[in-house]
Formats: sequence, C-alpha cells, structure tokens
Amino acid sequence: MKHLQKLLGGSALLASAALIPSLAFATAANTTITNTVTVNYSDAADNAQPAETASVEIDVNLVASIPLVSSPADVDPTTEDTVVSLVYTVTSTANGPDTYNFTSADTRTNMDADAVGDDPSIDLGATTVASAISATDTDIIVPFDGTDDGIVNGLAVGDTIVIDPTGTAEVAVIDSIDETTGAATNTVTITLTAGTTNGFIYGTTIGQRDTVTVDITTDTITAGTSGTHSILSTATSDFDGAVSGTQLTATVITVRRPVLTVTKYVRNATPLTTFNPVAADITVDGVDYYSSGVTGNPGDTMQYLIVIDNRAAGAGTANNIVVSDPIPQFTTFVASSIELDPGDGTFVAQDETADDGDAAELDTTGNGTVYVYAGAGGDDTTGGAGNGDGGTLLATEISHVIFQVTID
Amino acid sequence: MMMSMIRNTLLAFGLTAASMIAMAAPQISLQISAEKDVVEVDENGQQVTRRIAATDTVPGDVLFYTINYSNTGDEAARNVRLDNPVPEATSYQANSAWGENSEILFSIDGGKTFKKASNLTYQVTGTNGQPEDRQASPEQYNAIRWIIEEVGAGAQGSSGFSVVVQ
Repeated sequence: MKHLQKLLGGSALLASAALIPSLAFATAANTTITNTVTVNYSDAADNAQPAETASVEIDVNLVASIPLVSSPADVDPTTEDTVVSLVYTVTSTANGPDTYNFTSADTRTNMDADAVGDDPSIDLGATTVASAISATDTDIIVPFDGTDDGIVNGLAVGDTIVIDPTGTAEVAVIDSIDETTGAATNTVTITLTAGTTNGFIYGTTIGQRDTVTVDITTDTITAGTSGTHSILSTATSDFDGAVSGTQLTATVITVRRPVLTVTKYVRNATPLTTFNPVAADITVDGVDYYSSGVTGNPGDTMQYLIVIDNRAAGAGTANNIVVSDPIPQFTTFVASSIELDPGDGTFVAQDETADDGDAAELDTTGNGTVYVYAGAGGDDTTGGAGNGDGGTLLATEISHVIFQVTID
Repeated sequence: MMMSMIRNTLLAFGLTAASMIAMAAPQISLQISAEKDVVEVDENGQQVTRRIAATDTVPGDVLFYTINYSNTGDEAARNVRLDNPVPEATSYQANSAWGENSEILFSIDGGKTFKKASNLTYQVTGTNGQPEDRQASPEQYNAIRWIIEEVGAGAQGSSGFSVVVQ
C-alpha cells in the first residue's frame, strides 16, 4: 500500500478499484503471483523456431481482517485497586501475519473511575490453503512466503491454528513445517499433529490462535459494599487501524469491600456461678454469652467472645484481619485460654506465646494485650507481639475468638 | 588471370547470397506487463480511476495483463501461438481476453487442449448415471492461447486478458 501511495504522488488514494471479498477464502499475503507467456512459431518454410517466454511477478499484500476475540468469564469477587488478569483467546482471520493491539473500555457502576487496562499486543500468523484439504490429511499445502526460515507467514511449529476460523473453525496444532519446496513450487507444507476432521477448499483461511492476558486494575467503590467494571476489550490490527475485533460479551468485574462487624460478649465462666443473666444474647459452640448484665466476684473467671462477622450483603473478602484486645483493668489474662474459630465453626486452642507459629500472641506490656490473627491463614511468626499477619475471611463467613481473664 | 578474378568474385557473391538466405528467419520478442485500477481523488474532489503498473496486489483485485510481441527477425513468423496459463491464485475474468488478428482459445485441462470458449465443455455424471456435457465457465479456464496466422518481419501486436486475485 505504501508503494501504491508513492506511485500516486500527491493524489489521495481511496482504495483499489476492486472490492475486497470476505477473507474466508483468499490468497495468502507474501504469495508471488507469476504469469508466464510462451510463444511458439514457425518460419516461412514451416520450420519450428525456438520458443520464447516472458514473465511478470506480483506480490500479494496483507489484508487486515477482523480478529476473533473471546469473552472471558465474569470475575466476582475482587477487591479495590487490584489487578485482575483477563485471558483472551484471539484468532486471526487475515491472509497473513499481523500484530493486534489491545485496548479496553470500561462501563463502570458505583466505581470512582474506570478500570485501567495494560493494553498488550499479540502477533498472530495466518495463511491460506493452496491445495484442497481432504478429511484425515495431516499435510497442508500453503503458499510460500518467500523466506525459507521454518516459519511461514508467521506460523511456527507448535502453534495452534484454526482452519476456516469464521466457518468450520477446525482447530489443529502444527507439528512441522517444510519450506524446502518453496523456491521451486511457490508452496510449502505444514504438517499437523493429527489429521483434519474436515475437508477444505483452495483458498480457505488458516489463522493462528493464541492467548493474551489483559491486566485490568480495579478502582475504588464509590459507596456501599460493591461496584462493577464492565470490560470490553478490542484487538486492533497494527497493519490497518480501521480493522478491529471486540469481545462480544462484556466481562463484568465485581469489586467488593469487606464489611466486618465486631461484637464482644462475655460470660462468667466460674463453675456453678449464678452471675450470668437468664437469657443469652448469643450462643456459640453450645455456650451462652451476654452483651450486658454479667457480674462476678474477685477471683471469678470471665470468658470473652469476640465475633468478627463478614456476612453483610454484597461484602467482599476481608484480608489481614488482626484482632487486638487489651486485657481489661482489674483483671488478669488466663494462660492458654485463647481459642480461635477461623471461620469454619471449629475452635482451635492458641498459645499466647509470641512468634510461635499459631495465630495468637500476648503483648505483656502493661496489663497485656491479646492479638489474634483471625480468619483463616493468619499467623504470629513475624517477630514481636502484634506484628503477625492477619487471616482471611470470605464473604458470608464469621470468625470467633475467645479468651479468659480472672477478676483481680 | 581475368577469368580467375571473375570466378572468385562470383564465388564470393554466391557465398554471401547463400549466407543471406540462411540468416533470414523470424524472431519473436515478448514482453508482458501487469496493471491494476486504483481509485483516487483529484484536486477537484472527484473520484478518478487510474490504471497503474501492478507490483503488488490484494485478494479481489483485477489484474490486467498485456502481452506485447514483435517480430524482430527478417522473415515473417507463421503459426504464432501465445500460450499463457492463468496464474495460480487468480481466476480468469469472463470475456477479458483480447488480441489483434488472433483466434483466442481456452483450456480447462492445464493447457493440454484448447478450444473456443463456446466449444469448451467437460463431462459430469448425470442424475441418470450417464455422462453429460457441461459448458465450462470462465472461472474454470486455466490457460489461454492466441493463434496468429502470421506476424510479418518488423510487425508487432498485442494481446491480453484479466484475472481476479483470489
């Protein structure tokens, strides 16, 4: 095309006068069309004279064609300011190799700003069938691209190709490429790892299929617990910026915030005590706890229950959950009394020793502070009390912590 | 002495004449060119179609081939046959073949046989199991032949055809 523009000087080129057909069937780019005429003749005495020939060659150019772009599945949930990787399958429908540049558009709901994509590019090869394919054929004859380098029009060994991508769409894998015949016959052989299921006519498009990952970074929720980014990614031909393909169905990324509520209860755990109210405010693991009305004598054992609840509608996963609870004045922490239900309903005893590999530790400074790395997966291994890594609580999950003190 | 000179002169003249007779021969030279049409906008904003030399193409283009031949010899060339297979990756465009003072024939068997377009048929098995003749369509032509009875010494001519790039 550049060559053509040069020929036309200052004139504005519109297009070739011929209409460009659908590229479902076309001649591959970089094919050389050679026309040879031969003349045979005789002299006046009818003696045959040596034949003469003349030839002219024309190269076939790439015609950009709309690539086929898959629609990745929705993502729910993810969190704010998080990179979400969307993997797209892209298939060339062109007659030769081209680069496809990705851009992503967002229609957001309840998000402060559009998600940002990283706009990757992908190179895809393509060619066309130069000799009709019969079902079960493993060898495909395609036009020579002019260079004997084991790669024909961007297609290489191991590549996944789709024969007739806009029609039958048979998927195959290239096992080997033989270009040694290219110079002599103007065609080369692609051998597949398995025979084709279908037959294909001369000129059928063969497009490479590959995946490209688009990293989408979410924004922040405007209000409430969730928002969405609705992503439409487009692959645009590098050769012809007017040609592009967009995923047919938007990928909806739902961004959720965790909505943790923390509630604390207590009970007098001294055996045979009568200092608990009659009606429990909550019962966990078969034990009643109260939000108020609990009394006790000096020396009584009081058991605290901390409820970390992530079950609010629309809530997202809560990470790095750290519960810190100073030991109340006029009480003393009871050794080995910490237990954690990480979210599955089972209490597991936690040693209060710092950095010992479980999910709780006691900072003995002052009257002491209990640290529990609540949810699942928390641990206290980072050096020093209170420096552990909090756990994770999925949406719809609830975690419990209990520990005991005695009244001084 | 004088007789000897005359004899030698006549002999030399005879040899020269014989050489001139032996050298008389036709010599056909060929040139072939390819062109295509492009649409451009002129200074007045009007769309103008121009035919330019074709060095590259895209599927769907129409390529116009022109064959120029000339007899650079000193004797007429007779029974001149120009044979031109339709190029790979193209298909012959109906009614596009032309040629000066020539009979134009076509082949659908790769140039083994040539016939006039109206006589170019092929056989298929009919619904009754019997062979049926079908008229070949221009897309099936895979070679073209121009037959020119004579191209005189120093004479020249042209022929051509067009194809659609597949």
